[in-house]
Amino acid sequence: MRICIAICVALATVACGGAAREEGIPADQIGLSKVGISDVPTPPGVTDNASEPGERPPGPAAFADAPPVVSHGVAEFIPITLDDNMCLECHAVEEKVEGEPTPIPESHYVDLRNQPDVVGSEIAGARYVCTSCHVASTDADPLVSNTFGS
Amino acid sequence: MIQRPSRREFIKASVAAAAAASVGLPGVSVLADPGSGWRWDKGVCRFCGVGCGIQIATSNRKIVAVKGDPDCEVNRGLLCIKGYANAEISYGADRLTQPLLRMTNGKFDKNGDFVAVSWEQAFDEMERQFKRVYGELGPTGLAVMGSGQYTVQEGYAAVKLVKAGWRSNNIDPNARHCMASAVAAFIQSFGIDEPAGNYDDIELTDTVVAWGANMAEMHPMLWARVVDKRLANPDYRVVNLTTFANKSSEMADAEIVFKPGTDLAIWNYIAREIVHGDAVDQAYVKSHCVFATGPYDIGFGMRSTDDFAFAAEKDTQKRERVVALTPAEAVAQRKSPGESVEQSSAGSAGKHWTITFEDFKKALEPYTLDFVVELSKGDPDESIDDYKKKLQKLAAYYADPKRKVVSFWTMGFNQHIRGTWVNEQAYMTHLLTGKQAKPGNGAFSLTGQPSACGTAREVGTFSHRLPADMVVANPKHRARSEELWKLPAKTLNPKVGSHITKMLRDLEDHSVKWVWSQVTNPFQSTANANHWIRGAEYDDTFIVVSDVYPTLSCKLADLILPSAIIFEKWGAYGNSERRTQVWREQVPPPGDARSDVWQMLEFSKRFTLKELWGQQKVPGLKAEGFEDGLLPDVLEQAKAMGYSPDTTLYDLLFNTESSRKFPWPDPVSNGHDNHTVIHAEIDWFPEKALFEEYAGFGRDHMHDLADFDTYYRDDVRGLRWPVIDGKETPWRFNEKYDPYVKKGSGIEFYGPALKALPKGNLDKVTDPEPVSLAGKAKIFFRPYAAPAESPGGEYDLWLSTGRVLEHWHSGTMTRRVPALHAAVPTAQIFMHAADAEKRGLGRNDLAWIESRRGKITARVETEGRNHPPRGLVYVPWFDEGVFINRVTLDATCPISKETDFKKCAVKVYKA
Repeated sequence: MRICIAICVALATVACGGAAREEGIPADQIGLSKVGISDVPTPPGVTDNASEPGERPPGPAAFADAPPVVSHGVAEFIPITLDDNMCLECHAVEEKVEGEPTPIPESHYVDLRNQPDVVGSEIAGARYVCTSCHVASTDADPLVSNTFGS
Repeated sequence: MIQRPSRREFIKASVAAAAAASVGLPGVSVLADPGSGWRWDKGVCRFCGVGCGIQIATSNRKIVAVKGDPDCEVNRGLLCIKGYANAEISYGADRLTQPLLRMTNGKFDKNGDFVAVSWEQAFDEMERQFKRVYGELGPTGLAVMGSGQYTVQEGYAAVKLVKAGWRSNNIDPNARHCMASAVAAFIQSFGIDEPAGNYDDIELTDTVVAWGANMAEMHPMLWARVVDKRLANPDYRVVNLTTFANKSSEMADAEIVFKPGTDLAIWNYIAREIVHGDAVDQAYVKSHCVFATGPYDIGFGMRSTDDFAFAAEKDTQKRERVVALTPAEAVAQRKSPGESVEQSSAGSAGKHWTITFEDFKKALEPYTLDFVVELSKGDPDESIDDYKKKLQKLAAYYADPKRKVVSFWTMGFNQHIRGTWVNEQAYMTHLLTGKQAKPGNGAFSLTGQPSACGTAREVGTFSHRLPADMVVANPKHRARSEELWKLPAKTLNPKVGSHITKMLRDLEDHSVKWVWSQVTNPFQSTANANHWIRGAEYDDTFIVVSDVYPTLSCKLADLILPSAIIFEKWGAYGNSERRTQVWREQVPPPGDARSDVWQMLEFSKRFTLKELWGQQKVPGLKAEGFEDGLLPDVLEQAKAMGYSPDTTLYDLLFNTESSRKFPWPDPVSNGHDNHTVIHAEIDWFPEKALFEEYAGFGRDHMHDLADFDTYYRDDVRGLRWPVIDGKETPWRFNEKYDPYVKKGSGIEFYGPALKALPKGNLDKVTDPEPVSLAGKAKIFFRPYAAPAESPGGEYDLWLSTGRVLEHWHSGTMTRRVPALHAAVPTAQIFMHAADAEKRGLGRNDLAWIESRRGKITARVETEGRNHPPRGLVYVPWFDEGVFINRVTLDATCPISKETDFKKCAVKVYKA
């Protein structure tokens, strides 16, 4: 049977100078949930980003040309349906004006499958479901830091 | 009309020089921008079975960007959010970088904490434990849990090591949980695995029907292609059949919400309409098909004993032996209401025989519109009339000879207690109407994982398989494998091993004591988890987990081995449309992390033939030419072949003359490193050697791959096999496109497996003499059968589980990417607001979700992306902290052994 070993035992292991090269990590510290395997952790409450468009600065993108996270709440604007794409109603504009919606970039007007040399006048059909790439966010902090880009 | 600047001006205006290529000049491979110092190279996405082509940018030994590859036909430059996350998934701060062994006072101790050790120490203990267990239990005492996310080379190395080296068939992938039902249905219906069509069917069809497949979230870039067509073509139709309203409903022309498990009935209604409406393609059926059926009393893949069942689950578990038919089942199966049926065919569930068309028609009789509507309508708040009209319209799409139809499905059909049956019903409908193996017309099983096709299925990393669709039970297949692997006759074990759920049952009942988990998280992903946790904790079990990050399975491990992630090693994946794609190593693995191929090469050095190739006990083995329960001693024959009893598995399996014909460095590397080679200190190229050796199985055997170097050409973005003389096969079984088809036959279902059947009626075999069905496909009659466990009494809600767009599987990679985690930080219970209110629950409230098997807490979501009907809740499984598999049921399709993760009974109450 497995028991969670207290830190002092782990330290004792190190102190004994055995084959261990460092302090032991207890099993309940392994993984994203720092609990024992038999524990039932309490999941945190979720607070959606419910800000109004324009309230927060444009969402981060991990690197150039990665799709930025949506900076505002999305609940009022989804679902995107065959008849209804509220994202486009604001964002399908030509130029960026201070305080106005970020324009959808030119790349989204190119139908790479059928007419890759043409910049069309409408969003490429394959790009229509914005939420496949542009995700919403909540107030959740990262579980683990990520060193990408550093 | 909005005027757009010209393309040239747009390119000039792009923010980053590297972005120029993101618009994609087709036919031109992406070149590094000398100014930025970035090196771009092609690759494939780490995640779903779509298999999007990507371009990876590196600088200073780090990945700095990823974009969709405009030259890849699969996705033409687009990616979903997880695709972009390929750049970040290797950079979580808690990457495993050293082997970790549970120790106390410098010695292995199952109750100790995890202490960093050297690879040598790690393998020392791993070897010691293996030999203890092998000595006690033989080849059935070990288990390798593999993966549909293994590279082709990793899967092949594992199959060789386990089957040829250790003579065990206890290797099975997590793809068992994913695609096994699809595979069984392919083999039974067509005699060969994998789809006939390819993704071009999306553009060529008139109709896309998604069955139990939330493509919008789970195959997003295929959905993008569907949406593209739908927006441009007003006659294109998209139908979403689902047990709860989801994102795929949002872009569909029709959403059909059905009760869990009643897909079986809906297909039969459609088939009945086709038959009665004279919509059968008589010529097609006559030339290319036969009708077939099998037994109904096949149980639910649960244990046949209740010795291990928790008290509360015994009533469900009893149904494995005896089923009291519901009134609907009685009608559907032509039995008496209330009849109790012994599940006598549980051990021979796959048996089948041919029937006449008259019998087939007779079996469909009960599936009238009224019967099926009453049985299957899933939303209690939808009118019967509305639902009826939808089913009629759907049947009409299939029946209309002028309308091309593609049916897509994934886990709704596969993770199903009658998964093989419901897959077969998709083929039934398409074959009846002649809408199969033609451009734009076909039933298309979508694959979940990135290489369940390319690796698990094609390489054969299953308890019953060998490479290229061969099986261990077939003496000719074993002989061919022994020949190709240069093994003595009877080295290979003819007895099918344990599938992944059974491996965990074996762990619990002390039949397996040594486990090596690779590229998977089996303790989080397997249903009824409280049982398997028990097994992992026994004093004499030894669990090794090779992974990239510390996972839930690592918590239960005795030894954790730090592994290289996708772009830290060379590899190949095969996607749902049979497209094999490759990548080079882009960056080195961190710390002491090593590729899985290196791990297997290195560990194989610890074994000599004399330790493994003497006589071995295999309980239950019964095969011609073998003594009952025993594998023979093959050491004498080994000596005659030039081996010595002291030959290591490394020299036998990997460090062979043929492997060393592939030297490293190799020009195909284009200056990229190979850390498998560096760490192994060898001068040959294991990933190429393994690939070429494996490809030898399939060439000229209907599974032809091109040679390794071809896939690495700058102008190639994967190739759909069979690749004959450099040409891909877009549609198999169709003479116009498939060189394997006999000239003049038009369509030939040339798959060889299970193509001689006895004749019978709807209930049994009547003439046992097998009749050849060469070249034909089988149209199966399969009845409706109720799920293993349905809501009732205290457990009054259906539980369905699955994924969400932003997270992959058990979340070990995606939850470490900040934007993905922030988008969906916890797995919620998606629930109808009325069901929540009835239980005093509101949005974001904490609730217990409990079944007969276990309980966990989660937050309630009544307004999210999924809108279950009253009576059903949906919980995604990506969240280690919402360990939903404690609650699910390990009932499986008895033919495929794939778990039904979509149907069990729960109660939800305030925490």
